[in-house]
Amino acid sequence: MDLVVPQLSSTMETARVIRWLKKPGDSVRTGEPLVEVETDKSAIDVESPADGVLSEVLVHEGENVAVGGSLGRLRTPDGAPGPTTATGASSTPVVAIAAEPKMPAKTEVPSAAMDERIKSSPLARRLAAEAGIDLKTVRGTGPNARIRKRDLVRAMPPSDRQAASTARGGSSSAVRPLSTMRARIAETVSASRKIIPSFSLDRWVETTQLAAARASIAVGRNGERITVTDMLLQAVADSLAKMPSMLDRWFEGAPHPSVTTSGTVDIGLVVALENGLLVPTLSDLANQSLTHIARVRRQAVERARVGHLSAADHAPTSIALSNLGKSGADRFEAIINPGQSSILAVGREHERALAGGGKVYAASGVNLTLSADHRLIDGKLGADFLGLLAQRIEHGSWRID
Amino acid sequence: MTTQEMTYREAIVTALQEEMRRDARTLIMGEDIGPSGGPFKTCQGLYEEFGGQRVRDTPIAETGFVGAALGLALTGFRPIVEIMFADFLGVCFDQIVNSIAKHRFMSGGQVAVPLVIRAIGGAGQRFGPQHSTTAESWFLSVPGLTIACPSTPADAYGMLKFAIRADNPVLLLEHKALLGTKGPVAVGRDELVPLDGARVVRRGRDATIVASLAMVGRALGAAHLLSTDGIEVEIIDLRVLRTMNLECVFESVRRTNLLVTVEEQAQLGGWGAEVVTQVVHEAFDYLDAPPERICLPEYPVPYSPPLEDGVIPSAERIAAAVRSLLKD
Repeated sequence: MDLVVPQLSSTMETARVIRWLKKPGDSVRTGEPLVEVETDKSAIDVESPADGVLSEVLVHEGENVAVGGSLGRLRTPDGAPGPTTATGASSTPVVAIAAEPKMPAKTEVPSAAMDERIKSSPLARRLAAEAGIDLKTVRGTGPNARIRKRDLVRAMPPSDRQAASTARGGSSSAVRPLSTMRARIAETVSASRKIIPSFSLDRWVETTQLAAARASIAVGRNGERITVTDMLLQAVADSLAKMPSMLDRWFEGAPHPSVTTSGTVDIGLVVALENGLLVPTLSDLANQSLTHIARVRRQAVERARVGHLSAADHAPTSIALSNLGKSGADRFEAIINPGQSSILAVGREHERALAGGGKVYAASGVNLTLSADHRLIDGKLGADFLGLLAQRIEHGSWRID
Repeated sequence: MTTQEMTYREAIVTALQEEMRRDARTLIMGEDIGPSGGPFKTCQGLYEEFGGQRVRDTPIAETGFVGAALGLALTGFRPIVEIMFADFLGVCFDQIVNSIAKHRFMSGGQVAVPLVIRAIGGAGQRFGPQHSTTAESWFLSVPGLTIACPSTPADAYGMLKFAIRADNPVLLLEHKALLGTKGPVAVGRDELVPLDGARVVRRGRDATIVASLAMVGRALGAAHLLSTDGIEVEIIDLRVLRTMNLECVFESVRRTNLLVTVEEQAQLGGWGAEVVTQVVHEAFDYLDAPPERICLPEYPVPYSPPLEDGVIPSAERIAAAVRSLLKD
């Protein structure tokens, strides 16, 4: 049976094989890691979908393969090592996912988008035909992800590159290639700035009550340490539940764009890493306790830190939270992830002089900056959401366990 | 025959002198081209040498003297007319488009129209909106006209001699910003240089830039800027607008895979559109990005010097377009 590359996120188009953990001829058991692949967001172990023998490696280390393409073939006791035309269970392409929890990737977009036309320059098409390269396996770096000559040259085995790339280049040693994550971030933020007509709204919220509550909670059940981020997540989740239109997402469908929603309260969390950032989705946070949120958040952050996000981490969401409360910025405006409709940026916690009841007093707080996609969120909706959220943070009660 | 270093203006004067000496049927008409030698001195010395019969000052009435030139051409002469500013081609548009370009066809080939119209155009000289056009796009769609654009003294000389001896009407679009530029010219030759089409003026491997008239120099400036970054662009002088011959452009794009056109005119209806069309047709499988066009804005050339300098494509702007084509 074929070992098929699963689609792990809405933006994933290809995967690069980092390392084969098994050689052809090796026996493997169901669930045993076969190969390590790198997607646009993270590195993932692909597990064997069945007991058998790895009969063939089709995509070698360092090579790219499109979603749905075959990584290799597995000979199982009840089936031949042929292509997916074999009978029985092996006739269905097996989604070999190592990620936890064990579930297929959520289908976010209608299937029409999956076989979307590949954009490529005429030159790239000709070179691909000459080199026998399937354009589906090449990631385009031109405008609209158009595949250009340079992308093909990159996808070619080193021995073929000289022929295709004429004299162009000759770059100096100071030029370094981008890491996959850096390239992905560059592409994502550029696309966001080009596509999304965003605007931002500010609100300063007092965190005195939040800080006091946190001091009294300290740890939840099972010793789960509760952070300010967890409390902000609960506050955002509660506000989203009350204002479900903030859960809407823009969907660039053909022939007309439309609005979609998962219906559940999911929040992306921006996790800063040494060389970039990842935004795992924390799913189904409606009405959840701080203990639950803290556990879900901790596990997602751990997965992000080691670069092994699960399929569920890539679930679509409408909103993301970026908390820089412990850093140096008073406020900042975050860039909306394409596919999402807003992002909440939390600035440095600081004291401010406030006036109330004829007196001036000091209070701690943070700036909340909501960047919103105006195609879906008007100023009033965004402002109402911020108002609701501020009310929740300043005066709401916290569900601990 | 000797090769001399001379200005674009001197090259025009020399070509006129040589051809008027060679053939007594040639004569020239235009505004202030007589004893004063022409507003841009492109007819200097002609009146003194050939007299008022063959070098004739005209009233400010282009329709009249261009129409009269057609009559002369139809009756055995080889007239040359100078249009002081290419913008004034608008005044005699009807004579050119409806009469001069059509007579040979309408007579079933019975008459030839050996007529040369020289028009001095172009921006950058502080002449304002009504005296700064190159008029390149105005006559592109007129069958029967040959249109040439010299960007060097050698072409100013060679193209004019070719035009004077041609039996069909030729429109020569000269550029006033180029009048003082110097270059080698092989003068005193009797054989003609054929009006063969676009020509490579600088070799490069990374992108192809097609330009005309003063934009050739700007493109060469851009090539110099890019060269310091290791980017080598190929520059092609379009030279002949009608009939356009782009063989060397196709060959170039097949090597560089990228095309940029630079025109001193607004984009809509400019010759760049035709260059792009033909390249897409002839070198489609070699293009690695959509061709880029650099043009003037969709408004007239401003009189204000800073604004005028701002609208004319600069070497920096051309270089930036190439960089973005290579990067995006």
